[in-house]
Amino acid sequence: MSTAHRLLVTLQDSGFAERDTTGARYELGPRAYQLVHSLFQQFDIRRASLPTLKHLAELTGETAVLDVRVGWFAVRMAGVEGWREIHPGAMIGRTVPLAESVEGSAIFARLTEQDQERYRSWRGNDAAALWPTCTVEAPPVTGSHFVLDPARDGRHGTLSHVIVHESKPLASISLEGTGPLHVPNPPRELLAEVAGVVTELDRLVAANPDLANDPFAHVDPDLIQLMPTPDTAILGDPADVS
Amino acid sequence: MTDTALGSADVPGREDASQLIGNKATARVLRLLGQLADGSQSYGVSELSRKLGMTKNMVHRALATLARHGYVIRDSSGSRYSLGPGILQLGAAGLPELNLPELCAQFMRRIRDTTGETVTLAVPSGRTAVTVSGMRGRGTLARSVPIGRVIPLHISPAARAILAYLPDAAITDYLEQPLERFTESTLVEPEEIWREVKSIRERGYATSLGDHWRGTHGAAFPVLASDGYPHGSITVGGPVERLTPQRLDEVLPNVRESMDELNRQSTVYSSSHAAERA
Repeated sequence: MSTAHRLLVTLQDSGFAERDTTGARYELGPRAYQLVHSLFQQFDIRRASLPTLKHLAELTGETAVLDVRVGWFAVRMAGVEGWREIHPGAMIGRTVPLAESVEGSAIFARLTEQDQERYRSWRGNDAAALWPTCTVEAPPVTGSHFVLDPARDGRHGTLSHVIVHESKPLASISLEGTGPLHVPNPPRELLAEVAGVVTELDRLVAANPDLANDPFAHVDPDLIQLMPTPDTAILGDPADVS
Repeated sequence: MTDTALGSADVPGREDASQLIGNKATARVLRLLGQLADGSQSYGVSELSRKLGMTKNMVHRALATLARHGYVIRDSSGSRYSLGPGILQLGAAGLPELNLPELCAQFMRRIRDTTGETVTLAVPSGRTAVTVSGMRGRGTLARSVPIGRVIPLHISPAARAILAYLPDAAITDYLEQPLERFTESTLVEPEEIWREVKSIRERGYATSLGDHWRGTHGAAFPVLASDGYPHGSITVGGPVERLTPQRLDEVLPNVRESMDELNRQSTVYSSSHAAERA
């Protein structure tokens, strides 16, 4: 039996891997996803945002998602799918460098210039080109800004609001879909309703600073690598564990 | 080290030894990861050593391997370990979406085989519960599997097991409208229903009250989402002459064990769909 096969059998026995429906290939098993879920639980903003996400999804019919900043990444930790016939999936777990998604770009835009520079050095590109977005302000709620990437060319639109704690961007709450909110000039009344809902979460975070906890706050963001690299091995070299 | 260095079929005995080493060491690492995922957020080395029955040396080595790849980090105190950001890589392409009937199937089969009775899965839909899958009990006489049956949330164990795990505000909304009565035992008064909800939450399951079909008895357990909302409920039920309350008490521990295991998996997923506002 090859080393790889032995490892796969052990992973399978522990629930970290399983055979796919063809029986010929392996994929991550439920225990692996439980690990991800356990880690999500450590971010209190996730639990706090769930009622807001449900409220937004019910109000608009769009998919409401929470992307949390982890290092230089936006990690989707929660989502509620909308009731519209056609809507995007929640894609929970999706992990993208900050400036490479609308939700992440909204967070990136609220970083200090120093942190934006650090991101560019880390990512190795000069422009750190953000998604083409525009800012909309929802009256009459002062300070309630949204970043909007309208739907076009068969792609859904995204409307994002950044949750900030002590001037640092913590996460973004976004609505994804193709409905009335995702046009260049969304209806003001609907936007105001959405703003009212997200403002409640802003107030909750402001009143409960513990909700902004970051279990990785003590880790240098440059060292947090969430994209697989060619030399990444989940369990390392067998010689290292004996 | 390469496979050859570790051991190969060309070296008698070496392959068995390396196989044992590879499996045991990998299994230790996985057990440690599993422990970090359960319960407390961080652990010290001594604590892990005690809980896992490993020497401190083994724990240190496993932690070192995991830490090298970011799967484990020391907390800010420096003396305790918790899951690290590298874990997020496992879900980076997006976690699989929930297929509730598929997830529940193996547990429903286990419950059916243990009890011999019919097992069904129902999901919430507005003010009702809908039966979406099921496995018929063994023997010629068994409860049916009524796929597509729609029942109000206050009637039958399957529906009440869903109702009880909705948020209180949602239950209040539900009770504001007049409730249908199926039999003289159907609970329709809000106070009665709230008492039953409390009872279900304390027990962890709902039982028959004779409020729907006569002649059957059973118990229904919630299948929960990460936010505590019910994905649905699983009911085991049969003829009351066979599945007496005493018989149900006998089989409940096994059923509960299966449901606990199912809920460990189902709570990975949030209740991901919003209902359209009326």
